[in-house]
Amino acid sequence: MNHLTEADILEFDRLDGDRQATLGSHLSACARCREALAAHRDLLAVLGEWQIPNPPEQSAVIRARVAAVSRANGSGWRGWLRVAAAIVIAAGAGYAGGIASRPRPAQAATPEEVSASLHLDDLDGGTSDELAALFENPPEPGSGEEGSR
Amino acid sequence: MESQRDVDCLCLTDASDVNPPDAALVQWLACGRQEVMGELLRRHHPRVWRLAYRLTGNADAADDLAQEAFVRLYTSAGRYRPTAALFTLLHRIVVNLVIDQRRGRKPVLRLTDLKADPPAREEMESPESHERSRRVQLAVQALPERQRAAVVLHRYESLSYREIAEILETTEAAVESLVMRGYAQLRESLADLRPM
Repeated sequence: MNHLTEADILEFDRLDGDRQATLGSHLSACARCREALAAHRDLLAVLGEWQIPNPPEQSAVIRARVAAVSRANGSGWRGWLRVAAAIVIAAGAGYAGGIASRPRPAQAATPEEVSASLHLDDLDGGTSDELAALFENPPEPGSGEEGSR
Repeated sequence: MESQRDVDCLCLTDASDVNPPDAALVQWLACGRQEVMGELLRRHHPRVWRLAYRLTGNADAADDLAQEAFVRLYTSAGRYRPTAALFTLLHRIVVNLVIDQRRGRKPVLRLTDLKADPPAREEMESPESHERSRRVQLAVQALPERQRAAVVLHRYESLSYREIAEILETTEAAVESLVMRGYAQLRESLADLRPM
C-alpha cells in the first residue's frame, strides 16, 4: 500500500473504522507514516493549549438590540411599506376568496321539468297539469283541501 | 399591540413543543416572537462567542461579533431555510463579519483594534502554560484569514470539511487545501513546542 497522504493524516482520527483499519495496517509497517501521524497529533495537542476566556453573559444586551432593530424596522418607511404590502395581499386574498366562494345563480326550472322530476304522471287523482297548477296556485289554508295529519 | 411581523406571519408550527428544533425557533423569530431569542442564545451564544474569539483573539471584538451575529440572525430569520444546521449559518455570519471587517468593508463593528488579548491568566496553571497559550494564539492569529477560519473550524469546532465548506461558501477540496496549508504553517511556527 502507498504511504498515507497528507489528507489521510489530517483526518485520520475522524475516519470510520474500516478506513482507519485499512490505513492502520500500513501504519504498523511504516515508520515514516507513523512519525507523520504522531507529529500531527502533537500539533493538535499543542493547539489545544490555547486557553480562552469564558463567554460573557450577553443575553440582555443582544435582546435589547433585537428589540431596537424591531422597533426601527416597524416605524420607518420600510415598516409602513410592509404594512401596505400586507394589506394589499390580504385584500387581494379576500377578493379572490370571495369570488371563489360566491354562490352561483341557479337556473330556474320550467314547470314541465319540475313535474317530470317529481314523476307527477305516476300519481293518482289528477293529471300532471292539474298538480303542476297547484304549485302555482296553492289552496288557501283552511279551505278543506289540505291533507289531514 | 400586534407587531408588524405578526401581521404577515406565515408560521404554522406548533408553539406548544417543549423543546422545539432550531428551525422552529428561527421561524417564530421571523414571526416577530422575540422571546425565542433567549433560547437561541442559550443554545448557540457560547459557541458563537468562542468562534469569534478564536478568529480575532480579542474579547471586545468577540462581544461585538456575537451581538451582531444574533442581530443579523433576527433580521434575516425570514429567509432562513433549514437545509443546513443553524450553527452553520451563525458561523458563516461570524466568519464573513470578520473577513469583511479586516478588508475594510461594512465597518459596523468596533474592530479597529484587533490586537490579541493576553490569555486569561487566572485560568492558567503556570507562567509556562500562559506563555505557551500565548504562542499558540499568536500563531493562529498570524494565519491568513481564510486559512485561520478553516483551521479554527476544523481544530476547535471539530467540523468536517463539508461543514467548513458550507460556512466558507467554497468546495471541500478548497477547504482541504486551506486546512493543509494552515496546519503546515502552524507546524513550522510552533515547531519548538511539544505537548505538555
